[in-house]
Amino acid sequence: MDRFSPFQIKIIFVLASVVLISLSVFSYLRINSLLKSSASLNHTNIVKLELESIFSRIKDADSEQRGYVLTKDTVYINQFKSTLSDIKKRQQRLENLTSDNYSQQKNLQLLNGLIAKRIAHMNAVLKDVKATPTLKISTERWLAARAIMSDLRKQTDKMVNEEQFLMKLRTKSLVKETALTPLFTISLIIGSILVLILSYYSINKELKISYLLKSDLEKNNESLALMNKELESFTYISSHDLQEPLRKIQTFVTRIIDSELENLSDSNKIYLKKTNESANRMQALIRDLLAYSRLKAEIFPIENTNLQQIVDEIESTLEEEIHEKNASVVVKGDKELKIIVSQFRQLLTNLISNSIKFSDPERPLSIVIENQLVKGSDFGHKNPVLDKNYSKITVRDNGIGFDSQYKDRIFEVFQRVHNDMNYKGTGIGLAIVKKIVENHEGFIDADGKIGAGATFTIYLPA
Amino acid sequence: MFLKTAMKNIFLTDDDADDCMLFSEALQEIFPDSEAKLTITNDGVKLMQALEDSVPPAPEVIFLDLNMPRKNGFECIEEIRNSPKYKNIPIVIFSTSSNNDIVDKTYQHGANYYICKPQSYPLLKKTIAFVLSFDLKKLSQQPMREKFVINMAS
Repeated sequence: MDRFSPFQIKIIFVLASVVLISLSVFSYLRINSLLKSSASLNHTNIVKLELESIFSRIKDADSEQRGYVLTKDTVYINQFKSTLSDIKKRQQRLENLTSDNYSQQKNLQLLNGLIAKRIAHMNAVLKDVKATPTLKISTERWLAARAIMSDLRKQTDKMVNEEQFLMKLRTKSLVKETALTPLFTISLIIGSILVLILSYYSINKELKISYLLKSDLEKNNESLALMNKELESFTYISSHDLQEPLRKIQTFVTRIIDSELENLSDSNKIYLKKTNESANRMQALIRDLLAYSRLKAEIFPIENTNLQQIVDEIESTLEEEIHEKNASVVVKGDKELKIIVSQFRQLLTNLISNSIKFSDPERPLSIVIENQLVKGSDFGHKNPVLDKNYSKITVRDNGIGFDSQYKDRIFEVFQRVHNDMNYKGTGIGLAIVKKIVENHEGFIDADGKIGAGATFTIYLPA
Repeated sequence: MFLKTAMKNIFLTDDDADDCMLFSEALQEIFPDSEAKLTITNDGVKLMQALEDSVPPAPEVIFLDLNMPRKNGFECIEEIRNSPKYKNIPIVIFSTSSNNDIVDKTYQHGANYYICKPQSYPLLKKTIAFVLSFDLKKLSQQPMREKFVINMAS
């Protein structure tokens, strides 16, 4: 099953957004022009209506004029006047309606000329009849009026036809656009659905994969935690239960040494002493192993502590050994530390004990402990968090040192780098140191030179 | 009558026969003229039975192992401290464990002192002699937590 990379997912979403947005813009434009077309259609109808009603109003005026000529009743005159003013209003309206159309304006001018001509003719007839009520209007005059009316009819028809032609054009484009709009709407919908399906598919896939990974990880974590727990309890129980028979051996051996020593042969005395020494050594091993197995980070809180205070406490605990080796312990630099106090005390005790154990008998032992604040980016170690602060604690001595090619091995359980019988350790002390450093999520480095001394450098998150 | 009051009446409850033997021998060496009478039981049930049978007089002190079959040390302390008849008897824990949690628990339960079984016979003798050198008043009061654990090695 191939997976989408985050970059591909981004591209898909950008493309989908672009498609959706452009489809939306298109359909907006479509609907907009549709609205415009229907508005212009409406316009054509209004112009047509206006033209027709102007013509019929002129006919009205004509019949009112005739009514007066026949009856001499002034009611007709009044009606004739109001009809004329109505005609004027309509002419104005028509002018406004056709203001965007040059050829119709031209036609309108012609129409207005004909209307003026017709009205002037009617006014002249009325004037003559008013002056001499008995006057008979000649047939020529009526025919002239008829001719003007027929011109008017023609001009009106011409304008109506032109408007209709325009309307036809507009309707045609409207039909075209109306036909296209559903297509756009449908493609918009289909596009959206496609994008939706694609998104659903890819997100679902990602979710499934991450769920699988997560449950895998959880399972692994669980089994790891279980294994750790088993290992811890195994170490604890085995070392605890080993203590019991060992204590018996030691007690019985010391019981013989205490009360029966004089009854033994000289060689048996030596064997018994060696038995006792071995038992004591085994006891030290088990004790250290037990201490190692008990180191757990989560139980203990990290506290702000003074380094000098901890060193003072250790010095008083190791007073006898320090005095015996004529050793000096000096603390330099920053005194503030963020640590699991009990564990860090153990760590420093082990390092100082280590220095004491491997001191050079030729010179007094000097141990220098220095602490300074450094940035994670300042030291080229395994995997520091670059922008985090670390307390860099160095413990330096002038003891017998060690070959620096063993510098990684010295932190492993039961690993010792000196085979000289004078320097006997359990091989657990430095493993405990390393475990404590790991409990702090820190790093440790060792460096040494045979005959010159050893330096341990610890980085703890500050 | 005089002899009987002067004699130390001591109880030891431990399921480990070797430890019982060593304890008994150490006591024998501390009090070679039988000034101490040792009653040994191998589990909590037997201890309670022995107390039932012999009190009064109450023993001067009970040395008590923790990890035992049937009724363990913690249950014994609880039962003794809750009984009006036995509640004042001093209890000294005599255990292999030096685990702080366990020490704390026995302190809270009301034990008077705590001995982590020593690694050598001379030390065992020294420790028992040290505890038995306390007068009755000191033995029956619970000390501060720092002085609860008796460690003769340091």
